[in-house]
Amino acid sequence: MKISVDWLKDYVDLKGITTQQIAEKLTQITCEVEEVISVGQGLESVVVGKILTCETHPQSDHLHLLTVDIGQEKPLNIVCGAPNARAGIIVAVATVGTVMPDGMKIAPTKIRGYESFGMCCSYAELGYKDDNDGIIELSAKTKIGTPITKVLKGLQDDIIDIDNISVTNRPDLWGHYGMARELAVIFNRPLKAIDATLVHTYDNLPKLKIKIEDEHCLSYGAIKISNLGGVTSPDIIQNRLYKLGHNSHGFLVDLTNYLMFAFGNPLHAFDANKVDKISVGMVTPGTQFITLKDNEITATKDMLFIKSNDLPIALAGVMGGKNSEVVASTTEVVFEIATFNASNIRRTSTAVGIRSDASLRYEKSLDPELNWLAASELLRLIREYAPQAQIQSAFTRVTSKIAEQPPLKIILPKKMLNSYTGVDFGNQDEMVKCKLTALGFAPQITANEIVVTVPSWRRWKDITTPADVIEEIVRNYGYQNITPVAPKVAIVPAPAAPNAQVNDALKDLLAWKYAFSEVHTNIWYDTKVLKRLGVEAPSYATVANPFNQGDDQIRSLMLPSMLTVAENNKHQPDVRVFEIGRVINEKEIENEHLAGVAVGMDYKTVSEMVTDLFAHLGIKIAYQLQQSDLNFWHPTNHAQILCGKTVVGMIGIIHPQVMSNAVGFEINLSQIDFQNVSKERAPILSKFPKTELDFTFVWKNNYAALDTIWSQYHNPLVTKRCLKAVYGNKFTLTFTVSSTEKTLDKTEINKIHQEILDFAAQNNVQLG
Amino acid sequence: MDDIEQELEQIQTEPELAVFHKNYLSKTGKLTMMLAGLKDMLAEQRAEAGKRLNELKRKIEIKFFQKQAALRAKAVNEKLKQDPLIDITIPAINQTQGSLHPITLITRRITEICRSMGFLVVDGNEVVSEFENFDAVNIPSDHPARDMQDTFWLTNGKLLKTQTSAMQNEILKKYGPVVSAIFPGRCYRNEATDARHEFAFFQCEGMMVGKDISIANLIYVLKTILSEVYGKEINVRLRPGFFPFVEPGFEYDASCPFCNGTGKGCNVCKGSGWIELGGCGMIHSNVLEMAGVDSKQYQGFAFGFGLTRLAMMQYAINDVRLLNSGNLEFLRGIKR
Repeated sequence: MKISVDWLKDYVDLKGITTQQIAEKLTQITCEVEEVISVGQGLESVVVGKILTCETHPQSDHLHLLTVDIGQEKPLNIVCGAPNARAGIIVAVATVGTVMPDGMKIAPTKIRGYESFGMCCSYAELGYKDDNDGIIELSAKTKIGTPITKVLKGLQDDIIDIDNISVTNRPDLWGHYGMARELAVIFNRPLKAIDATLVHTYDNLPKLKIKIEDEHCLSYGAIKISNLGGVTSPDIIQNRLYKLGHNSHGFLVDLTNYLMFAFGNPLHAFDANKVDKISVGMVTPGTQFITLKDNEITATKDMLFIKSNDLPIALAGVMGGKNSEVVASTTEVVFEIATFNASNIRRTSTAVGIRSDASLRYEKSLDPELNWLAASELLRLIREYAPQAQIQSAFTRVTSKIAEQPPLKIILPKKMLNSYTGVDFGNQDEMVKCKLTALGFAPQITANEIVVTVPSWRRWKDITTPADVIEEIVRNYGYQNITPVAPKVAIVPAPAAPNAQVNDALKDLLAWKYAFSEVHTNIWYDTKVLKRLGVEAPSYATVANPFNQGDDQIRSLMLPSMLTVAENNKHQPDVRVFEIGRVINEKEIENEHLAGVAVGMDYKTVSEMVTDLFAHLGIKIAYQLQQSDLNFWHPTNHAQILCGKTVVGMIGIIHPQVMSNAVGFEINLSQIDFQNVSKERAPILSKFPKTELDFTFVWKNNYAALDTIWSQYHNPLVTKRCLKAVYGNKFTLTFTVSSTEKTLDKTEINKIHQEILDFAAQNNVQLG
Repeated sequence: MDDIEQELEQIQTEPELAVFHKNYLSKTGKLTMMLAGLKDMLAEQRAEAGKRLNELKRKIEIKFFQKQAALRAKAVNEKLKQDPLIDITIPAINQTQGSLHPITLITRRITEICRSMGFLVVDGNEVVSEFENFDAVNIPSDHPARDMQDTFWLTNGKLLKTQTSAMQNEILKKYGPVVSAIFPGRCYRNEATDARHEFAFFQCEGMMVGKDISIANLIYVLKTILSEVYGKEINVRLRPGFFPFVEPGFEYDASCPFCNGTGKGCNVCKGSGWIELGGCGMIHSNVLEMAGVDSKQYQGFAFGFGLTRLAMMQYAINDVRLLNSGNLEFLRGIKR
């Protein structure tokens, strides 16, 4: 939202205050200033001149050769192409050295053989208004040689651009008057009062017929005025609108825009010939409506319309209709000054895809009382700029119940103010009173309380609780004046973040021990890449409004995401990636998974790694052959990962048609109880030597079956058994033999050796 | 006797030393012989002379062994000097390096600091209910704030968390009313991606609720955390800001740690000396009440910041999309 400093000065005296100071204070106290744009800078060298002679350029059919008096000894020779250039008129001359707003530098030039020492300017060239029909013609009385900046009021100005989001909750700041009030408070300057009673001068005139059919219209006011034809939009209005980025659309429309930017209340001008009995309400769903900007709209049951004799003439609060818009020939006008429900306007505006300056304001919850201010100022401007106009009706205003709220009082206990802020406001009554009064809150301050009456322009959603009042006080007190204070809280150990610790341990091992890289992927499958890879990935939740078509399947597994990453990195050496992330399972429950893919690592290395990862966390896992129907696995070489008897994940070789030479794993971390890990005792070290006996067995079944057999073998002197090596179907097991009481002698060891051989024979395990 | 010692000292090679040993200390050596000759002496003289001679022999022996060790070490080193010289300037090659995601690294730093200050660290879901994400944080269905963020909706009515604030309700219910917690998390926004926007990004939110928790406390906590993150004194500046779940609400800026707030030639703060970090404020009474916390008795603050943004500043990453790209060349280049 753009604010003109020149315009603000209509309402508050800003003498001695720089725009930089305004911007700084607004940012600290009120809203975020994005940028300050100075307009009309460097135009002091554009001066008033009089065209003395005007001859046709011999080599051109449209150029003129001028001599222009700018109050210097000799008149300037200027070549000018404006159709309205002629001797005798008073013009604005950009002298040599001037840099125009568009960046063009005025320098002596030769145009088709004739020298030119300046330029006669149009309004648009000076950035004053969007009038580019020839050069400026000033009044004959204008003194020659005067800098143009002294003649065209408002040419030089500072425009403050405010971040709209920072004033979302401040409907009162969506016009210059509201901003001026804020500055009046900030700089302790008086705010100019606007006489909102002018409108009542016409109360005796006939009333218009207006009916509110739906409570989404809070208030509806209208006034009919005739004899408005042929009025030129005044320069000051055109200039101010132009600086905010709006071109002129004729006096009537400019007037409505001007008042909206001045007070925040949108206005609409209807051609009075198209308006009869006004009603505000819904129309039959399906009704077609065309806006004045030719948007074709199909009415829904929720859209609020302004109707004339029950036919829609405007989409309330959003945009007027083609059927009732004012055109160049319009002389009689009905001006609408109304207030609509914020949510309704927002929904309609979103539904039809039109965000107008009006809807932008209405969706902030405007104050219905603003109607009076806007109506009075409308009449004042019409009296000033169109004195011949005739007021045909009273300003007729009807309201719905919602708009008629009793004054809102809020009690703020001083104790709460101090407690909330951490500042002792004990001796600040004067400051509090002064600021709240200037803001319009009519405060009453007692020993223990601050009682305020919320002004109408702040009471619609903005200020409703004591905390809101605290904000008003503290922002004006100055946030920078609050001294940081350490909180007084009981010192209690923060509970551990168990899964964060588990995740950190897993991540550290994977990254620093196994050289995996942690990646981040979206919670939905990248269907395009998966399709290319031929991966079918199960999904049990769907995004209703995906950004990219197809990216709507929420993952239930993370391996497909890892395969996607591996595929995207296929030109990198040694791809090893993992992620700890979220999935939604078949019961629509969110779980945390760990998944990874390694290219170029063999199955055994990866499975040993996974065992090691969880061993670090005190979790023993095992593998179990189980065929899966997931198509990205090798048809046989994949397994379930077991934790106790629970299946917690899977591991296997990726199907070579999906990705060659890759191993993947995925574990549901949510399913593992990392809390109840039995604390392992430190190993008991024997001071007597131990002996390791190696046996190699030929075994046609898998290792798990061999392990089951040997788990039946017990001898207290055999303290450990482990797999040492595997060659094809030959398994070498190491048995550790030791005693905590003595050094075993050869006979004793030989006895155990024989016992193991006997046990193998009994169980049909053949020695290799 | 001094002559023997002197002779030993002057020896420079192992063969010489062997000769010395043979001459004095071996079975036929002079010292050994002298000791053997004691038996011919008178008993009263023998004790005295034997003692002296033994001491002398021991002394020489110790010196002999020291000399021997020194000569051997010297010889070994002389030999090692013949070994080929290793080129220690050759860097590590062909080493597969693992890496942690920059978001993990920055999150660890933040959570470690906050935990040390007594904050509980809570992890939350990525798929949340409409209530948690909006209603519970004072954003009713017709609130304009729902327009401020484009939400990914699921067909089952749930949604992908758009802000970590979605966890406030659950945390207050579970740990409240007196609680200090921080909750980092992945959030999603449905908007076009470019160098500064991504569907998924990480935020971190913190809150402290208790009695008499104040704005002054909020500034203190932010200042302390940020000073710790950057390892230097950071100033915090509050500005008015609007967030439905806090009142009063603020935007907060930190004095730029990259130029120490001077702004001089600083690309990070664009010369302003301040970096916008996020929003904060006193938790709205509606938010407390909706979590069953009596807002007449308890009050507190909440603050949030973008971990993604912090990581980008920390590692000078200029395109946010790199973070979710899975690009190994990029990720492997991030050191701790």
